Amino acid sequence: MQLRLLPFCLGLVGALAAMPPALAQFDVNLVPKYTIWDIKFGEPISQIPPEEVAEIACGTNGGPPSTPLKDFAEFARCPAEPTGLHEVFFTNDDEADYIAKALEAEYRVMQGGTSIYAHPVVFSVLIDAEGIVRGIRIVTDERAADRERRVAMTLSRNLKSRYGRWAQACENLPPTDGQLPVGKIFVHEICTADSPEGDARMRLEATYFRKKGQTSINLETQTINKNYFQSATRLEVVQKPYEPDTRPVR
Amino acid sequence: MRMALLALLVLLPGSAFAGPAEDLKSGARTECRGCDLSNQSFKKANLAGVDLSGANLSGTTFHRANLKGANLSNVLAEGANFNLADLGSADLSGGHFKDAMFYEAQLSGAKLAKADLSATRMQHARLTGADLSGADLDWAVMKEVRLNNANLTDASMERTNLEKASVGRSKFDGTTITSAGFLEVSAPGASFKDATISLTDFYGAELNNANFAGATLSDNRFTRAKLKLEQFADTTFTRNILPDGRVQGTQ
Repeated sequence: MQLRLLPFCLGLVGALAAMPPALAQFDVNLVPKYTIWDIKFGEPISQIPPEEVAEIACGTNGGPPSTPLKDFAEFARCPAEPTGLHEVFFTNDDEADYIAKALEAEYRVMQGGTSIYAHPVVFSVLIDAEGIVRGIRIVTDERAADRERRVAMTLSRNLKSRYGRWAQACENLPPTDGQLPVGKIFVHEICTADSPEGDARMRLEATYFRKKGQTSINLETQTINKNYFQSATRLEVVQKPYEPDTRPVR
Repeated sequence: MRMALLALLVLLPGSAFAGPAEDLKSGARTECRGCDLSNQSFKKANLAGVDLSGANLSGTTFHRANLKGANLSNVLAEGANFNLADLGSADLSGGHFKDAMFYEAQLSGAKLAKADLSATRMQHARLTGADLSGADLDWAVMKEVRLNNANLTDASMERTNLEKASVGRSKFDGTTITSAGFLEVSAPGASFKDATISLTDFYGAELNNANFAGATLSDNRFTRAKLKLEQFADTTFTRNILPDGRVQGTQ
């Protein structure tokens, strides 16, 4: 451990020690017990322990949740996508997050929510008609604060590294349909890869640009248009013979 | 005979040996009066309407649980976790909830009379129409709670933090409020009749039509509060900071 982290750790331990008995339930290990990375393809959806996730709902192609579901067994209520898979949205278990909120814990890391690599994201699991898990979808959460949304594209770097053993083929796409760079930066990269075992395929898309009409300045009022840009990372990993959805990030 | 008994035990279904916690979660039983359920997890469990009166629930988690209409009267639930739980119309009267957490919990219409809610964390909880008469709310953190039309008659509120709470038309009659925080509370039409209020901060509070008849108010701060001085006509009013910033009794 680096010495400069020592005061933080001592402070954290001290803060935890001084808190009410409810904190006995607090898991100092800040990573949730069950995460999207624990999902196994080719196995029934019942593999996901319901007590280890908070909200379950029909997914909207990586967007916000739609119809709430009592449990994953109700996946068939979600309309099938063109691939025939049903997208079910879920969030990480938030028990520790809410203990931190209740105790007004100083360290925001304790209030992580549904995130990976410190980026707020939307998780979905893709299920076939027989209730077998065939894939996962992770999209940066468009509802995040401006500051977090601005760096959403950088999540792709973490995910590239995570899938480093997969032989990735990446392509940088040029601006189309009136797209403009944000300042001097334009990113539209799509990486695809097959798993080393050859049984799964991934598609990773990173975007950072202004869409048509998203100008930086309002020419009528001469004010800066805040939040007028697209910044997102979208990962989809599916079991073969299914193919990742290529619909654009909304 | 012993062999037969042994065989019977082996053949009995596992559920026959399940503890009361498992039976409650599965719905096999709907009451567990006076049970020891301390340090259990009822996370996301459906316990609507269960009777746990007098039970020991200390350190138990009910995160996201459905306890609508449940009977939790006279329970011992110190340090329990009710974050995001639905306790609508539940009976928690006479219970001991010291240090418990109710963050964003639904407690509308709940009965909390004479409950010990000291040092609880109740931020963002909904307590519309709740009965908190005679409750001990000392040191409770109740920031941004919705407490409209609630009954807090004769409650104890020492160092209670109600910052930005919504307490419109609630009754604080006869309540003892000391060193509490009512910063920017929305309390139109609230009743503080015969209350004893001291060293409390009402900075920026909306107190339009609040009734202070018979109340004893001393050393409080009403800076930028929305109210008329006539509202203090029938009160014992000493050393308070007035809405315009003047200290009472000075020029």
